[in-house]
Amino acid sequence: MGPDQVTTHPLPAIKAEQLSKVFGPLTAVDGLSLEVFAGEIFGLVGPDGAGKSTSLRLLASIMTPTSGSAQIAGFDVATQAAAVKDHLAYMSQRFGLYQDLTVLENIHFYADMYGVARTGRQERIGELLDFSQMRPFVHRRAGNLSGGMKQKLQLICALIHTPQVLLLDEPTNGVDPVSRRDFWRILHQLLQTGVAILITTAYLDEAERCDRVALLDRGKILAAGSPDEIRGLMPGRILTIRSSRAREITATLKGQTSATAVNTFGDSVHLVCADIDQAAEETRSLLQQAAIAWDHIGEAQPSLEDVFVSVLDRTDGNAAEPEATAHFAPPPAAAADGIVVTVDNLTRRFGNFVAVDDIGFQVKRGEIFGFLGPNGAGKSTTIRMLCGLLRPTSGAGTVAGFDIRRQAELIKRQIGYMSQKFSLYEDLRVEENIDFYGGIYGLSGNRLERRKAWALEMAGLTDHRASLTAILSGGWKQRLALACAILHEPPIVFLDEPTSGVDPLSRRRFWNLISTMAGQGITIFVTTHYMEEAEYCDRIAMIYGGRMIAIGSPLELKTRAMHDEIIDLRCPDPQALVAALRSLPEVRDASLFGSGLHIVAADAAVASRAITRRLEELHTQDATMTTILPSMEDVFISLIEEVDRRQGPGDPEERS
Amino acid sequence: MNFRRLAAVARKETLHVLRDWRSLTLALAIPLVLILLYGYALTLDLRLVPTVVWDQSKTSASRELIELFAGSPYFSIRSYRDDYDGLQQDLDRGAAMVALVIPADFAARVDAGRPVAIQVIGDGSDANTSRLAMNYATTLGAIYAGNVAAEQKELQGRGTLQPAVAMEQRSWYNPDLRSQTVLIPGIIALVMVVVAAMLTSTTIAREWESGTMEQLISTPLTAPELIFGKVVPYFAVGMIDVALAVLIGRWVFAVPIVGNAGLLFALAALFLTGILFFGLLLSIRLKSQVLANQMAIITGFMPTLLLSGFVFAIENMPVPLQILTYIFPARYFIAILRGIYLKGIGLEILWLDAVFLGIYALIMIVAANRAFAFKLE
Repeated sequence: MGPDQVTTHPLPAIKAEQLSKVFGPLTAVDGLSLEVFAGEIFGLVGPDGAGKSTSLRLLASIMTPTSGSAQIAGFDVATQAAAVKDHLAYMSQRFGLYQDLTVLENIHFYADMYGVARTGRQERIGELLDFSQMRPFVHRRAGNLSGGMKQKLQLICALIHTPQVLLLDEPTNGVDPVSRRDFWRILHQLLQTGVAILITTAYLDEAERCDRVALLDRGKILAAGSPDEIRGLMPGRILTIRSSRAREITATLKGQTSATAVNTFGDSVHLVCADIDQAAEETRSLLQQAAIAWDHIGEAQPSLEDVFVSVLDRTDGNAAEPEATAHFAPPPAAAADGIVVTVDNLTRRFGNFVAVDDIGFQVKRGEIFGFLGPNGAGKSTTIRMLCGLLRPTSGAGTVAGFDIRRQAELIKRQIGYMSQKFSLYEDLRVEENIDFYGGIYGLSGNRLERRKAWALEMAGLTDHRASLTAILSGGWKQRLALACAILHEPPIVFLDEPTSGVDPLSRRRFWNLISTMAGQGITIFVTTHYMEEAEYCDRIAMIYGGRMIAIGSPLELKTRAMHDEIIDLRCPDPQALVAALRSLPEVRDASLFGSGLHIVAADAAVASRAITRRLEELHTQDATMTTILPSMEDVFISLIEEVDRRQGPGDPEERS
Repeated sequence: MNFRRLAAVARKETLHVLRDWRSLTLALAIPLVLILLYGYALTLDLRLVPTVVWDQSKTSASRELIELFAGSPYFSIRSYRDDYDGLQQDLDRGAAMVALVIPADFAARVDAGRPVAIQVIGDGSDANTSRLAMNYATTLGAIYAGNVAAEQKELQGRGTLQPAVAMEQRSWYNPDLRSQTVLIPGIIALVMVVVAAMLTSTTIAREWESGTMEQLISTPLTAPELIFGKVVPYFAVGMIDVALAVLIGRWVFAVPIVGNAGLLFALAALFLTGILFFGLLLSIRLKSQVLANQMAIITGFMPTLLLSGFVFAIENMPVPLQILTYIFPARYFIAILRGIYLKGIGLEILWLDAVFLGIYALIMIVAANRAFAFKLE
């Protein structure tokens, strides 16, 4: 610490200056500078490969920077690693604890690692167990915990020595929304003890809960500030058109208006434009000409994702990943009523464990149908049954008119399947991968050549046909994987978590492609644990604990399925109000959300009055309240809680 | 070095060992299997070599000679043939390893006191056995010749024959020349090399593969604490294996320890330390459980079997190979084991071997600690 340090200004708990890390030809972190202060939660947001994890590892002193410097609690990460490690806790992205040790054994091991004294240790552990509600599970093996509990256990182990700085690498990835919210509640409580938290996340909705956010791409910070400041960076405004014919609207508007981007989100179309009135005028006249009806045209608040996409788009120039356009062959006709997938009372047990419990739904031709739920909810089991890979314990189903019990082999010819892991061979060239999948699907001769040309065009890889697959970016690999999965022109495509780890821009392009496919009559069945992704679907089935808890369009779920309402409260010091507002009988829950609070209430009007009274009592000024449309995550959580309320508090963790 | 952290690592690692019952079973079963397998199968004693005879003489004299062979524990007469084709068939098919051809004039020449040659054909495709068998055959021939000479002398009434020089054979340390007595100590070394390197070769790699290493690096834990802590439970398992091997040697193969058992266990501990750290070094370098495990078995097993003097005498190897044997610690340990087991000697003679074991262990400990960059790359 130099003498020129201004003492009135608090020292940053985390400070990085021009931090860089180079791996061979790749610069993973490129001149990162940031400061995080005690009691602050800072979000590092970006796609896979943006350099988030590397940045955290450099700060945690477990990796040596190529250049630049960083301090944790005033200690240099390069020269004072021992002191740094004493003052910080780092939670790696992978589960870093021992699966064959019990919860308590893991905690004691980490207490020993950090030299936590034997006296007082029991109290500290007890405190953390209560705080995280993990006490009932102390003798359970860590390997038998659910994803959410594993993360909480990891957090307990990280907090055992009362660190000043917490570095969390995507701690809520794949965790169910209830556990996710619980985790954030714990983090916000920690902030009050003066801990500085740096968290990475690929969920942009999660970033909204941070005090400050930095958007990271290719190792560089594109923008930093509070979520509101970041939203202010949006170069244009967003016009939203809601209609049951959203895809047709997108096709009609594309390139015809002053808007810079047109995207479909299920039943809505978003236009990014400089002048909202002009765009609205153009849209109205174009839609009238095309005789397409709409329900609503108006302005929408940009999400962080919107900002990220437009910022990325600007910095990219994006000759790199051309927008792919392709014509998808119209699939063979489905059943007369247009129903392509039918499922009735589908159940699958593994021993005593019910993985899928009495699920039933129908999917229409050309629909994008989303299967939304946390890891372990039963999504993959359902997909496997639909693809004929797994026999149902009971219940029935048909896919493309074939019975899933008896005609599995016929079904396999009618479907395309793309898994989360992009089942491409990295050491093969683009073309060789296509040839391989073509061979598997029995394509040869002219048809193979034709389909190959089509696949290359669709994936935008015609110029890269001879490139090794390993060197392609995530977005490209994703499109290539999709192309390979639909080489044989299946009428139904199953996508299993298709966009995990892809940057938002590529993701948006991918969904445009999917939307085009659906527009041409291909049925898309998507599973995702990613609440934001659900917005792209026409209809969603929410699945939790093997059961389907709701089904409907995104808008229906937000307006009808969810019975609670959400109030967005903006005020100067939201942190201080959480407890006071949560104790109000009219309020079901209050949680921090960026620079404000989200309040869940059965009746927003009644709750608003109660909140206003409470705020007056507390002499809080400058508070504004608006009732907002809940996010998909709000809907999910509220539905899960409704289920739990009806059934009495069960132990959802017992499932895993 | 913080001993509380080291102890915590050791405790945690012990839990892993106890809970991974498959690996634990393997660690205890492998010595059993190896000792029984090698103890029974790898016998260098020559017994009941299948023999085919072409007795052209067909006299009482030739039968007497054949009886001598059949009566010895080394040969078993399997068949009689009347031509070379027959002999060759038996040798080709492996029905016999040795063929005896007794010439037609055998009895006549013996009676006349004239020298007579008996053809002994060995199956050279198994050079060792056939050389031993032919040596025994020569010995039996000499015994027969001696008998004949004595008989004739007696017949001629000139009293009994006293050989001018008689070799009184006595084999020290192993009076019966049982090969098991020599092999069991070697097998103990082999077992330790295989089990110990196998145990530790996966342990660091597992932390990398399961993602727990990253978390460990973020704590104040240091590399030596992790390395030494991890070795503790495996050291215990390794010493249990040594005890197991010694007991089986004693009770199953009746090979007792002539010398100081305490010294044997102490030096085994030294050897074990070197091998455990060698396994760790592999694990640290290769960062892959499968690869490290295979490397541990190959680099441990082969040299111990071939280049340690376990089966093949080092003195008989070409000089470059002899030099190579010095880098394998099993060489010293087998010398120590045989010294204590068979000769009952102590450090007054074995100190140099012990020093070499110590140096090896030290090098491995330092190398493992040096190789371990406790950082992500």
